[in-house]
Amino acid sequence: MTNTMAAFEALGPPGLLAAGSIVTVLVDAAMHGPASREASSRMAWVHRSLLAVVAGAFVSFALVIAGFNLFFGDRVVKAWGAMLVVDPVSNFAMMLLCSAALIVLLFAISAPKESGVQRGEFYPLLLLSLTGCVTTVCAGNFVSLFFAIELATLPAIALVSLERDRERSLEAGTRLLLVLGFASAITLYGIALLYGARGDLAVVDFATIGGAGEAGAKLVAAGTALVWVGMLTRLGAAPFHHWLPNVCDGASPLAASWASTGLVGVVAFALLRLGPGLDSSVLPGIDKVLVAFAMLSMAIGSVSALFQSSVKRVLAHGAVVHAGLILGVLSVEAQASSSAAALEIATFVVMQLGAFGVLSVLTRERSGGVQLGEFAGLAERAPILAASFALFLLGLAALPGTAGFISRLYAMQVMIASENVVLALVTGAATVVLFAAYLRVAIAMYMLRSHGGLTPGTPLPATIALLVCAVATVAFGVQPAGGLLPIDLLEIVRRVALP
Amino acid sequence: MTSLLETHLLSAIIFLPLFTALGLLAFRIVATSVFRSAGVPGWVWRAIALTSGAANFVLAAVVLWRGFDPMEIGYQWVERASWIPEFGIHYFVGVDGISLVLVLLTTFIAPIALLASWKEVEHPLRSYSVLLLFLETGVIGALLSLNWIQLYFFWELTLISSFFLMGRFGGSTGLQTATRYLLFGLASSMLLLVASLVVFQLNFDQSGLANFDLVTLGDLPGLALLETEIPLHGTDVWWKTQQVLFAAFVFAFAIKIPLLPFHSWYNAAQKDASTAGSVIVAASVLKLGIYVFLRVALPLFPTAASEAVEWLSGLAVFGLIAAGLLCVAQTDVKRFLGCLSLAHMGFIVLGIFTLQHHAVVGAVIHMLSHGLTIAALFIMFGFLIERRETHVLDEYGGLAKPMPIAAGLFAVVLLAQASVPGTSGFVGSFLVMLGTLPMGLGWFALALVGLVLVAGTLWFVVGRVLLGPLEKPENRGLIDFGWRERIVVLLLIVPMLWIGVYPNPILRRVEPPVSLLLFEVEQARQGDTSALAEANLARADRWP
Repeated sequence: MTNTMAAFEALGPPGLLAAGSIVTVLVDAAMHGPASREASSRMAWVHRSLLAVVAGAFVSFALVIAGFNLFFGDRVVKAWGAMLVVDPVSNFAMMLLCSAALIVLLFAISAPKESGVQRGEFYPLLLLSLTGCVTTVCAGNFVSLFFAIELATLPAIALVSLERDRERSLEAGTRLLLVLGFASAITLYGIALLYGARGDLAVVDFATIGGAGEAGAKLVAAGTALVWVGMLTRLGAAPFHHWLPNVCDGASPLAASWASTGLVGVVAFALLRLGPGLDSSVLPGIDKVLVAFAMLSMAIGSVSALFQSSVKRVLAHGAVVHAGLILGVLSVEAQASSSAAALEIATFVVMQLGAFGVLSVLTRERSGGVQLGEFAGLAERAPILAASFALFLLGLAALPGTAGFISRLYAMQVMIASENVVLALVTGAATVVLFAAYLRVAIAMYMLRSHGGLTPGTPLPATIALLVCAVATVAFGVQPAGGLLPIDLLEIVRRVALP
Repeated sequence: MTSLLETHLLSAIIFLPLFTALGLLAFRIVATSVFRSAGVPGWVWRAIALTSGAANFVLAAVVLWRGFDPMEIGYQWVERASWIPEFGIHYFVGVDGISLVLVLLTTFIAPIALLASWKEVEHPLRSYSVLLLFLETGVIGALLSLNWIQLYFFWELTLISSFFLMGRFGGSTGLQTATRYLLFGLASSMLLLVASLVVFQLNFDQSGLANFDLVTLGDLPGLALLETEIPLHGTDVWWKTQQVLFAAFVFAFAIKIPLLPFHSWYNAAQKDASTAGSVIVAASVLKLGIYVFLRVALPLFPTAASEAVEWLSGLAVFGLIAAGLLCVAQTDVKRFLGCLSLAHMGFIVLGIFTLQHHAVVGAVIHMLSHGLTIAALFIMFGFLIERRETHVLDEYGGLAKPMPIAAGLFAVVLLAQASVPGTSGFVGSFLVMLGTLPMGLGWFALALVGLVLVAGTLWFVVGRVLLGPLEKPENRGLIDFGWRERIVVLLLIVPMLWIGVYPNPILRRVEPPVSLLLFEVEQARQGDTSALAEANLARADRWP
């Protein structure tokens, strides 16, 4: 009985979201006939709104459950022999991912009629991908982890190539399919080796020799390395990061936002679980290698961001820097490292979503690159959009007064506390270079003459979404510890700390 | 109301400009988006900004100055509130003699800079006024902060707002130089942040509590950052030692202050900035670097600092003389003034690194005096540039004939800048020179050479501008300074002469905190109270 209860409890948000995706598919199918036959714009509008409302309702419900569990229920629920584990980490991650999906939904209903987002498929695909993400953060076993990550990825590939008549969009989708397919294959090899050596598939302490004995040690080492390579590819950490800028550049802004926040964020949360399982006796120097990858990601990401002409690529390289940062925080041995990583992921997701959201509004959800020159003089044409874009960009580069600064401060403090001063210095340098890269966009918006480039409107749902992201960025930057705010963000991420 | 002002005076002085700016912005957003109106015109914004700046000066000069007790050692008007306790970040402000005079200088210069650029900047006045107000809050906030991260916040605010000020109102290459300025500033801030996080970690290891407060007053829990014991070279991991951390601080501050040869951002920035931008950067933002260095780096790394005295004095003297020589070679008015400030920064830093009581007091007074004189020079040359629209020095000459009043005002400022007795320049230079004597006659001679070189170049250049033959026909018909211009310059001249004739009110306030600072440095270096430190403290009441 208790097992069944636990299973229900653990299945709450993933089950809800899976049901939600099925319901949205049905609603889409039911509405699709009349809408396309009459081709009346009013019917199409009803169709889209209904889909968005249904999807939003399911996501909100899942969000509320995860939030309730995080704030009021501290216990850890394990279902099906720990295949699914619901603990503060997964509740926090689920809250974050569901909020991210809600924001994407708000931007999606503001997108113009002709964009790919407005095809009915967008909503079920997003929900399905979210289901995968939410399951991934609960996965306590390599089988469920692998299955869930695939579930998160495959719909995202469809999302990226949703503009079926656009070459760039299809190219991005294919690229995502190939690269993440390879990553899955490599991870799967690793999992197979680990299973062969150890005889179990639990994620906890996966990289220890366990029951493998002396003979199995090499298998465990090889398996661990392969699992990490697969995961780092998905995270977008250098030198496995090339897919991220290309995919973001080719996809429409909203698909790119989900690929660089949802997909990347969920892998970061998965690594949060995998990280502490590292045992340097199995793979000597693995922590140093990971720190090196982290530094490489930050260096390559920030320097490449400086030389991009497409703003989406700038943002994607910024995501590579953040991947490095998260990896760096996770691979140092400090008490607060999982809290700092959780904070870093959360602030990154909020600001990156906001930035891509602005792009979505500005370009009318156009796929393909957005050149820097198109932003010239934007501040005069659209002061509020320009201001919020500047806020998100500079916040991502740790401008004091934004949530980005608090998370960077926390991350650097963790690095120093664990005696990784070089990592901290590289983080500082990468932050400055990234600031320079983002500053180019801000300069174009505020200081260059307008050539009549992008001319946006600001639909109400998008304005609400932008406002939410902007308020979160500033409020958690100025009052991260509660104070005037009802939410003590630092207290929440402290709860996320793993034992 | 009065009691609220009494308990929150420093917050009022810090945030009055910021809230004025935010209020203006909010008003504009409401006006444009809700009422679809264009809002109030730009000159109203400027008038409001000027009023707010003047009101702030009144707060600082009347309420703060008069309420400040010069006999009390330590911080006054302290306010402390919990902000981000997990990281040891608190809202913590307080004022002592050193910050008092610099706050006074900043609140004084800000409205004057706005007044001085009345004609120069006409479009877009709104963002101009708002940025100047942001900048003022940034500088004052950094001067009064007693928590390191809070100080960092305000410091970055000055960086960002002066970046926009330079970039938008700077002329053709303004954007480029402003970007360079911002990136140099950010990079040095980041280095500073990493180094201070190391200190924070040491502090955490020693006390078990997270605390970024620079000092502790009363019985607050935790160890203040400045009380942290930082191991010496060879006793701990290499990067957790005073020498390495001090080197990081020095490097960061050498960029921020700036000292030669780390000045490349500054010269370019001065050339392109608008008058008000140049004035505030030269008069206040540069002083901020020196102030924070004095306030944080010296007490934090006393042993490393005293070991490095000769190196750093050498760097400062090199900066002084090299910048003096650079002055000789300049053909551009603003670059010339920039080099002049660089030379004086070198001189002030020299005064600090003697670690002698007189010299440090002199350095603080010289900061004040240089702030006034360089502001006056930038403003007066700005007026000339407005008339002739050229930065080239050779284009001017013989201006005393068409502009006699301007020539007279120039002469007074020159006297102050050249440290002639009776002007503010003399007090500071004299004390600094006095302080270099114990270090050896060589240092004294070098400092003197540098000072004479700088003053001589300035006299020569201004002499040519004012007294030379009136060759250019464009210069013949120049109109003399009008009433607004005369008032602006006179406002700056009055305190120069006042400090020169009667410096005691300022000396009385600057002396005790300097004595305390040097006493603490000496105590920390030697592990206990030494005779020298006692002697330094005893000098506090020499000027009644």
